[in-house]
Amino acid sequence: MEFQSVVMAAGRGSRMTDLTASIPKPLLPIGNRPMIWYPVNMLETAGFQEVIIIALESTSHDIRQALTALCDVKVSLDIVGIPDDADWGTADSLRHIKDKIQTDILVVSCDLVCNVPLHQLADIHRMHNSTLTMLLADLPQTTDSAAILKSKKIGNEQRDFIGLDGDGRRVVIMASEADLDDALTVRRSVLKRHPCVRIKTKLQDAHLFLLKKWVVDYLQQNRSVSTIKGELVPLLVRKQFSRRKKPDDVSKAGDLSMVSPPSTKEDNLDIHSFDEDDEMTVLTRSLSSGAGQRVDGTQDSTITCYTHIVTEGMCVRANTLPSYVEANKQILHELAGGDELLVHPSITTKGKYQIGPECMVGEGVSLGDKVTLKKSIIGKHCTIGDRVKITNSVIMNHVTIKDGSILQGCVVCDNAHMGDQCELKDSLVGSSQNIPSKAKYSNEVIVNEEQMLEV
Amino acid sequence: MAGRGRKKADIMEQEDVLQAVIIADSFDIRFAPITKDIPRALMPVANRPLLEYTLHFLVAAGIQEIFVFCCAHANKIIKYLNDTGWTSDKAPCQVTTQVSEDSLSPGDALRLIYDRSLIRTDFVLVMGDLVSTINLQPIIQQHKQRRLKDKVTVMTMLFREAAPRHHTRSSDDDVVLVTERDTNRVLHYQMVEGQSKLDLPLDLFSDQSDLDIRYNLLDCHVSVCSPQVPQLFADNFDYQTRNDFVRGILVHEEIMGNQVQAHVVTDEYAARVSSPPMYDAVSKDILQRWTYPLVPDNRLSSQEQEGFYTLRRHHVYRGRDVFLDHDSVLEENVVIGPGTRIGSHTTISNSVIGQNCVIGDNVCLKGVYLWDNVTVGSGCSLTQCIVCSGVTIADRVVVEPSCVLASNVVVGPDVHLPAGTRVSLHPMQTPGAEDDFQEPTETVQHQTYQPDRIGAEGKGYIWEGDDDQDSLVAAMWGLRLEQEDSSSEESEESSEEEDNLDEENSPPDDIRIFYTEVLDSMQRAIEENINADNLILEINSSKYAYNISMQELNVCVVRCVLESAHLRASLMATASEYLAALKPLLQPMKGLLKNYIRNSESQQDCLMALEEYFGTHLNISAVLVSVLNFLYNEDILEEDSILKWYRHTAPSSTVPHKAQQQVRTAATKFIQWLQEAEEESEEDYD
Repeated sequence: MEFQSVVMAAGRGSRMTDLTASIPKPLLPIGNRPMIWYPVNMLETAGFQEVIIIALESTSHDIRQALTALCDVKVSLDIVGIPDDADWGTADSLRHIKDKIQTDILVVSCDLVCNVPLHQLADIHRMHNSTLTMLLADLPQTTDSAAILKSKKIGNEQRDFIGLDGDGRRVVIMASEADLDDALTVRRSVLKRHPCVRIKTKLQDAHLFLLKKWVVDYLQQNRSVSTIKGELVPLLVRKQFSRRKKPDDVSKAGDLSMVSPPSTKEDNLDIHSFDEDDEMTVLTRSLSSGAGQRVDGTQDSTITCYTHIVTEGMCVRANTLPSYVEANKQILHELAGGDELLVHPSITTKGKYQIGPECMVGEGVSLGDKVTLKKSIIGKHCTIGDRVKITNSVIMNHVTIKDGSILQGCVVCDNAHMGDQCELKDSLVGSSQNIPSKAKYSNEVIVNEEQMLEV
Repeated sequence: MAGRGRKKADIMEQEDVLQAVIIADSFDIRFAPITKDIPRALMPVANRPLLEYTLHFLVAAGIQEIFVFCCAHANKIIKYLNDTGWTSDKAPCQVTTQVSEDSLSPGDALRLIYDRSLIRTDFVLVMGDLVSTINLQPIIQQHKQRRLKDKVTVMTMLFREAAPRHHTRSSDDDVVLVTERDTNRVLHYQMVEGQSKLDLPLDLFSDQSDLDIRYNLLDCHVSVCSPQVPQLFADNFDYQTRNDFVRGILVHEEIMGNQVQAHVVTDEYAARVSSPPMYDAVSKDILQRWTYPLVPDNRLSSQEQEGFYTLRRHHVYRGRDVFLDHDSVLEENVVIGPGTRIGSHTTISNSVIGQNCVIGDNVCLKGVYLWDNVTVGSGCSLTQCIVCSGVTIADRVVVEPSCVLASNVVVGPDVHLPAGTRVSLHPMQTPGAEDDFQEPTETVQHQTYQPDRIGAEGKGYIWEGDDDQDSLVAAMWGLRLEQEDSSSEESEESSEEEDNLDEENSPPDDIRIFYTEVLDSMQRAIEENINADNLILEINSSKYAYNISMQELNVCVVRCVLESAHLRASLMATASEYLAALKPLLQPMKGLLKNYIRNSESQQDCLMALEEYFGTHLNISAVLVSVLNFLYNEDILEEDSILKWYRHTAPSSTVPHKAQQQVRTAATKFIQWLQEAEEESEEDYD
């Protein structure tokens, strides 16, 4: 077994609380399938036999249920629950399952909808023997469908600055805009070794990492790292350019007794000491004429970070409301070309109806007369009245929409009920909401009042 | 002379004439004392004057009109151009000289060119010390095309790809460039100057999503300029160099809308002979034929004789009528000028020997540049040095690397010149007056030669350094010169910004009253154990009452903390008593300090306050270390700020310079520790 796979599904969806208020994030439907099915399916396609899923204890049963019963997943699932009240980051979760990790690992977030063949990433990992290999994708172009709730500024503060070496494979700089004040600091030592660095800001981290096993051991020791994306990855990228410590220069800083000298690290353990070389590497180094050896006896860092950038195919992270809409849209687009049946045969219709090519209609839906659907997803057991027009929208399960309503660019959660002749544009309807007849909304979030406070 | 050959120009379409400006003055003293006698542009490189390479580069690019701007030794350059026929009608292009005796920088040169309205179209701007084989024509065409589409591009800068530490990369031009990926537009231009970290402003990334940070570029100082460039120089008197210009254009891009473009060449050659190490590097490249067709055995113009040099293997070029005793060996990369005589048992490698030199027996020359008419006696050993025309080196002289012997100097016999010695017939002047661009002044030779150092028959003064000069010698041969200019500029800029924040300066009385008020509040807070938040509230309200700037406030707060400790001990307290009084105060005041000292500017304010306080109370300056350490541990002061403060002494009105130095000396221990800790915690290469 070369890799073990871990799916991080314990996120609370804090960037789209309106959606996750009633449905746990991993189970939010995308293309009428729970979100978590996509990464699990990707791993299954890639040939994994077993998948470790880290989920909140309260949701782990539902996740197993959803994956095995509804989606017919065949890989063996090892769902590890973590306490609901522990506010753990992804690295904390990894630390939690340390004992299960025997090999290099593949970590993927449950909100990744991606059809990139994983072997491309694995090939880079093998070729460069990299410590960390990450998947990056171009940020989805904000199209008209993602216009939903545009007024809420999303996106800018999450921009990452990713510096790639000349051939675009090696990651040499990584910084998140949120962590920077007004300048991006570049070390000269980085530039000396990579004199032409390409900085991209419109790349999205897909949150899919291949990590060496020793990184998990390091996490075990260094408890200050709590998230993978936010802390571990920048740390590894930075450490590519530091040198291994000579054994004797640990804590030379003492000697200043007036006020206690600051300890430079929480853990005095050098990250490089975890990356032990196998015999072959040691032999190679001893035979080579000084490559990787410094005059002062220290060694070059053996940490390397590489990336694979998705240029074709689909790669969306559904972690915000716009990207959730975008993921749904892309799934429709992707499936429209395939031979999978998008309109469930069990729907009941009354009179004429029109369903566009990029539409998906779930089991047991009943459509009224002269219903028009364009680029939309209708969940299971919905009831759509006469002359309803739905465009660019996501309708979840058990929703009732009465006659003559028009929905454009909306997300409607489970069990919502909408009266006659409603007109909704670019809005979100929370679960079990009642929209009175002839209501008109544009660019609004309609949820329970106590949830409103959070917004 | 400026008007010569105008007839030809008038016939041609004015717009189509390609113009170029050569700045044939370096405006620096990197080649002192050689440049006392001869301008840099006329120094022979592989036995050809440097200016010749630059002119041929421009002629090859199809330039039709060249203005040679000269300042120091202008008459020599004019004479040279006349003698070689560049200014005659037979020359491949029209060359005119522009003389200015009082220009001090390339910026002045361009302002002069603007005043004389010489430029009519896009032109090429080069320095007079360039050796290049780049084909400029397509680059000029591209520049014109871009200008046709959009007038915003004012300059296309040429760069050659060269890895960091490439031998032709001068440490002066250690540049980091940020360019737009698709268009090669320059967005940011920064000199490295020995900094280990570079800060790229985030504004760069606001419009562009795909940028290159390039540290693998050698600045050729060749720029294709639009006609408005001289005008921009004229409008901005503070533009002294092209780098100032580029920086100015980039900073004001949003207002002025001007843009700068980069063009990167990969296979062609370009380098500037900007310093002695570069002289060495470029000469070697010429001998090894990287600069083909600009090599010694090629005839560049009809003025030069056919077959002047013959090329043998291992890059040995022999001129005509060279007499070489058969026991002597020319190892590799050697040029021997015509008429030179070389004695027996002599070995020469990696060297250039000028015309009509006489070299004795048993001589060893390694990496030596002998100009014309040099005599080297028997038994000499010379390594890596520049020996100018007419120098006589008597028998058994040993010259160590990095020496410079200026024109007509005599050394020896039997002396040993240690590394970095510079000898000239001109006595050294005070550093201030010693400028490359001044005509050599005939001073009365009241100084005497030093026979013990340059030999019994020696003629010449040794140029040696006080502190400044030492660093200059080091800089001459490639050791890094500490450059402080840029950072002091930075601090000026930041203080300007602060000034803008508070346009109305309240009279200093306000500050004093405010200060006593803060001090009172603070003492009361300490006595009554009042919460830091309340104290902050109190101070803030006083701030508005007295119209105090943030900077003054920061300084004031830090001062007050220090002062109140002083009041608690006694005004005459010793360092240890004071420390004892201060220690219990620091902890409760932590919150207060954290509230005010938040960014790098306020940290500088804080450090200024510390400096002023301990500068005025020098008897307790030992406490500074513990205060710094405390503030550092509490993350109030960052390492970078402390180091910045330590390195740059900002002029202060209240503290004399000497006291500032003493304060810094007091902090040395902490700084050392900090630097060590930095090395360890960052484990960084440099």
